[in-house]
Amino acid sequence: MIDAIVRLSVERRYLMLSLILVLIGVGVWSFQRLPIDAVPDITNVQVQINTEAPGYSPLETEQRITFPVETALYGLPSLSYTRSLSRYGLSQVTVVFEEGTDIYFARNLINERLGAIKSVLPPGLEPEMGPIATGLGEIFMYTVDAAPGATRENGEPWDATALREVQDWIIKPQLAQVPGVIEINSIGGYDKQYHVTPSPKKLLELGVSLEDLVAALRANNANRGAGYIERNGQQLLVRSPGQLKTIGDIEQVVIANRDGVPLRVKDVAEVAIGKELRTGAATRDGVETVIGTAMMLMGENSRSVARAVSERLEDIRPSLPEGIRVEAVYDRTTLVDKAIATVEKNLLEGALLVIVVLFLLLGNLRAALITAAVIPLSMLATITGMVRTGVSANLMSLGALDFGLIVDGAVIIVENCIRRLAGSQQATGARLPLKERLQVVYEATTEVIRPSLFGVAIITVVYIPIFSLTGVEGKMFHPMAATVVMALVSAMVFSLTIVPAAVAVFLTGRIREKESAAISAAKGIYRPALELALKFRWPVLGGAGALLAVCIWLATTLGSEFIPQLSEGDMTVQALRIPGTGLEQSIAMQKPLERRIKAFPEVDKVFSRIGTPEVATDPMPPNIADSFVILKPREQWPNPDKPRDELIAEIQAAVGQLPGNNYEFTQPIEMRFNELISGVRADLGIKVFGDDLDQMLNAANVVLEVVESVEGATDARVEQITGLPMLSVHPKRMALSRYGLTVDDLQDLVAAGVGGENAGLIYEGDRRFQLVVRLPEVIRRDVDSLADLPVPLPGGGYVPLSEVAALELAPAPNQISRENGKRRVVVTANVRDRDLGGFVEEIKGRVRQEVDLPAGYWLDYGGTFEQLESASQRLAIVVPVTLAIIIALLVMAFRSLKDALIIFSGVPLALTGGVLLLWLRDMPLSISAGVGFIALSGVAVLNGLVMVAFIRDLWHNQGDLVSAVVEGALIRLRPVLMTALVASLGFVPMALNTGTGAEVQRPLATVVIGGIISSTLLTLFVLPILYTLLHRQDEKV
Amino acid sequence: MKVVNYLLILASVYVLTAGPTHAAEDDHSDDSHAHGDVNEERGEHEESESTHAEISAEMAEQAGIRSKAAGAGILERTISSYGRLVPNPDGIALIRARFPGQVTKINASLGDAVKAGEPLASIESNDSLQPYTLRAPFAGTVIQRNINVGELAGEQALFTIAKLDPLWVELKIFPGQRREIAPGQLVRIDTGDAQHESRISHIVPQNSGSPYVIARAEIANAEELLSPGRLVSASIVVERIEVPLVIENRALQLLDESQVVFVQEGNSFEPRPVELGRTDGQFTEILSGLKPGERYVVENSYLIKADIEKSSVSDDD
Repeated sequence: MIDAIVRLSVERRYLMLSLILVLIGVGVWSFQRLPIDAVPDITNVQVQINTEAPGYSPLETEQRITFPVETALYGLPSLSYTRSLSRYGLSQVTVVFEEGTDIYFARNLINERLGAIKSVLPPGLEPEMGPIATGLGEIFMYTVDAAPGATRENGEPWDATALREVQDWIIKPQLAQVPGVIEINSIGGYDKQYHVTPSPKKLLELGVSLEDLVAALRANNANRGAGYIERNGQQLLVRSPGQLKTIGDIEQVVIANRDGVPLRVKDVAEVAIGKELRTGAATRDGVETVIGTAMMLMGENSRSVARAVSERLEDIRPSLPEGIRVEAVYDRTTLVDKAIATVEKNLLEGALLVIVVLFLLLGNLRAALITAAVIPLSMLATITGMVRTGVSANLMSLGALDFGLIVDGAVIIVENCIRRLAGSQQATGARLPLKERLQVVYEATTEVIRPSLFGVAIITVVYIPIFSLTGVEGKMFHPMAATVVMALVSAMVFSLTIVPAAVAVFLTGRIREKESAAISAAKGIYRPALELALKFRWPVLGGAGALLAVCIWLATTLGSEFIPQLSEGDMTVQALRIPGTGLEQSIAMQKPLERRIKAFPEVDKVFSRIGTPEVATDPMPPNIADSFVILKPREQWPNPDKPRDELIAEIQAAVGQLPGNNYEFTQPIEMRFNELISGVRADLGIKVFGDDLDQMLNAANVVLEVVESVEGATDARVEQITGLPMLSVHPKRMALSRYGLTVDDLQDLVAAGVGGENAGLIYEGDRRFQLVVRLPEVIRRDVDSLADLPVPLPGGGYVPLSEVAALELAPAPNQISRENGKRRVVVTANVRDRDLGGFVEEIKGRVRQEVDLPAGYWLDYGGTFEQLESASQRLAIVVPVTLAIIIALLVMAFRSLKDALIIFSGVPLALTGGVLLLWLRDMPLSISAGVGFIALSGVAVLNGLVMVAFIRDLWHNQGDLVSAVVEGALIRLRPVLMTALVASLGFVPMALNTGTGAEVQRPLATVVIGGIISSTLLTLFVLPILYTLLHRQDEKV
Repeated sequence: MKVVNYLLILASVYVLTAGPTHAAEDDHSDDSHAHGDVNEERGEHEESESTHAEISAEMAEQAGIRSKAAGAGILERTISSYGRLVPNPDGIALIRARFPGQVTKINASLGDAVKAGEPLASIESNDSLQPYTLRAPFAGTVIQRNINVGELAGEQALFTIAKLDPLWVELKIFPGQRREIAPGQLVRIDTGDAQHESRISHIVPQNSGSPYVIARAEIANAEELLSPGRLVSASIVVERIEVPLVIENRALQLLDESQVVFVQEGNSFEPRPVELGRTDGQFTEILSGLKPGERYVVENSYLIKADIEKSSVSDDD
């Protein structure tokens, strides 16, 4: 069949070539649709259900909201698991679906279920699904602040409330319309509210309750439509406007009538613009500000959306009040552009190097160009494939593309064609007639097509283990493997079709097999060296074996890392404070922190989000702050060569002096991924499930003791669940009844007085603001005097709060975590100096024996050990199977197990070079490097394949083993050198690059370069020796 | 040879697959390093980490941490209450006609200030047809007048004269507060626009079935700015004691479920569990745990608590 295709290609060569145009068209069209980002998206398919519950404590949130929501989700199709957290004022249920579930389908299902439980939830609470975005979603951030000295229209300076109003009502509505933006999330400042703050004394004096006040405000703040009337044939609409508009209006609302005198709001309360009880704040360079974050819709192109947002922000500027400054502080475009520039540079330079090498070694410009043409064509075909399969272009997916590897097949074919064409021309002494030329091309192609096809097939097969990775590793490396496989397959198809067609069309002139000087010199050295090696074969083999042994030992001494971390350029400093730290305290601690960081000459700006933003995409408690540190371009640093790690260490040291903060240093995208994927990040997590938090905590502490006593356990700890000091107002039922009060009366008073009660909305055009009744700040803030708060009695008079309720200040759960519909407490531990599997087994056994759980409580084991276990198990099956497939392919190609194994010997030999070079460059073993080893095995096999195929053919034709080996090896020297050179040179720019994102590609490129050098050398010497050794008997027979 | 090859391949496969395992461990050691970094100078063990905080003088200054020496002080415990102003029972008089008769003349009208003995009205007695004069029993203000010239004065009160200086405050004392209240205690009365001081003169139980008792205190009203019926708030000083060792309440923090203050010695801040005595909401008596003269952190003591506990903090969600 292959022969038929090649024949067709050669005969219908112009048709074949015209297909190139089609391919270019499709490729360019696809390119415009290719999603481009910096890193692959590793977020799982998840939907967050947020319910804001103002005033609810964690326990109430869990009981009243989280539980019904979770229960409603039972039995959703494709549901993987749910987890939830209940905090002050917020319930967040995260629903994780199986990979591959359509997000819109999932959201639809959830929406349906949520609709059914509306009646179960407390009135006024509305569960909402989080934005349809992934970990890459936060693409653009900006701050809103006022120029120094700028004033508002009323002459007052801009405060946080006014800035937030600008953000919410001028900027946000406009930015939210940018295509591809799913949400504009605001944090910082205060939502403007109208506050009515009654004095308890005046209420008491005039016999008005808080409820009366709220009721009066509610009853006096509405517009009403009243249909229409017809007058003289004209239709008149009737309406009665009654909405309150200004503070003055609110003050004049009548609450009651006392002896004919109207009692107005003004008589009992003050009315003013007030501050909401906010859950989050924002600071920048040590000053409070407002931060807006644009979230990108899942699957959009982050670069173009970020750019569109940035452009729209420029359009918005003129519409802003005077003195208001809006500045973009984080723009994903920068990172993506840098990453793309790195990839582009690597690919371009690699391609150029490949072309130069081809030209030098083939000595024929046309041939070199034909071979090189495969590069852009297969690139276009790959892009088309990526768009079709939904793989985005990023550092990882484009990171393993090596044009040298891609053109290998074409190189072998073109080289053979040239050799044969030159040979035929020499034989006839003239240019060949068309028909003969076509015949030669066809024969030359089919002669080497089988080994090169097998080679490409083998390289493709070795990528199979990567597809077996799951979870985060899978998401990181699947696109990489997919892209490489697509590129290889398309290159393979081209070398069957377009390459022979092009050779037939373009290689018409005189072709002298002018051996380039390099090749002649190489042959001059190679022949005696090979003969020498064949003579001293045992020492050579021994040397190779020793080298291998040394390298295996070296490999075990190499450091290791999981996935090389992409440096995003910017960094984030998560400042962690003890639970229970208030928002204002947190801000007070954040400001000096930011000033310290800002003082570094390398830092351009620092901004932070503290607590939870408006849309709880990241529900942080107020004691945690995410600080984004945006660095200046390196040219502007005092020392542009300062390593990033050194800068981080310096910043760490500087902020470490500030009391009360703990820090975690990450990067923006990395942090976002961590937040979304979350789960247990330690080696081992033992989850205690149950009902009663105290019981669970006891059980967890027992488990902790067991874990700590097991050898190798470090950092063992129980998840902190308490620590939020809570002031409980316990009603005294007897006392209440004595005064004719109910528990409800008391709770209403406390809730309305301290938390505030919503009494309607105040409209200012489109803008709407809440009207809230609550006690004055001085009374609210003073915990001691809360006991004296007068509780009005139904028959007039009052009773102090302490008389009818007991006030208790005690630590309470600051957060309740649940998983799969049950409360859980996690014990985490890491392992050091011990194998993880044995450690986990021992703990499981000990826990089973020593920990006695009450009925209704159970344990579950999780953590990274699970992924490692499943990955190791899977790889333990997949890798041998892959090797078997390769051997089977080789056996198929040669119909000889012996030859297959000879070729296979190239693999370990190739690995030695990779290990050596890693060691020389002081790089750790990582999955990236692992992928390099995998690619390397493929190349090594390809080398050996071509060599052995030729030697065998020669041997069969000539009959003399040793001379066949030498001749065959010499003939194949050029293609072997060429494929090796192009493959390794193609990776050189990648191995040397230091740009953004290069750290992901560097280990891979390093391994391939080192490995190809060693495998080429060893293929050229060890393989012929092995061949002669193993086939000696056959010859005698 | 084949076997050797195979072994080599397997070995290299092991290297490949073993990669992640090592990697993960390494990852975590990095992680925990980051956690511990800040506390490195404080030693390796968590126990020793949580004993004290080390903050340089300059940093403490910047962070607004201020300390002062503990010493003797005065505690003033108060109870707050609300009550209405009422006229002095001695200072209110309902003037009636001694003998029924016709009013012939009225000398005082509503709102007039009258002196003691000043004539209020003249009445002609029905029995004797002799006129007699109704006089003010004491100096005060006419707050009610129910009679006019020509009318018959009978049983009803004709005038109400009230002496508005002094007034009395009737404070409601609820059962939970009763034990603390005694006559003679100082009362600070806030009328909304002025502060007055007085003492509780007596405590009157109610017989209306209400659970509270009334504490009464006199309040001067020389300018007569106050009027009966007005609601005032009051704080009753139930105890005023000199204590050998007091601290400010804002210095107190809860650490490991016990109340502590942070004692400063140079750059070192050490939590000191203290046994608390009485408190007045602003100052608290120290029974043990702190010696007079030791410097304890008053302002921003929360920062020190945060610094000591910070090593246990992580972002768990």
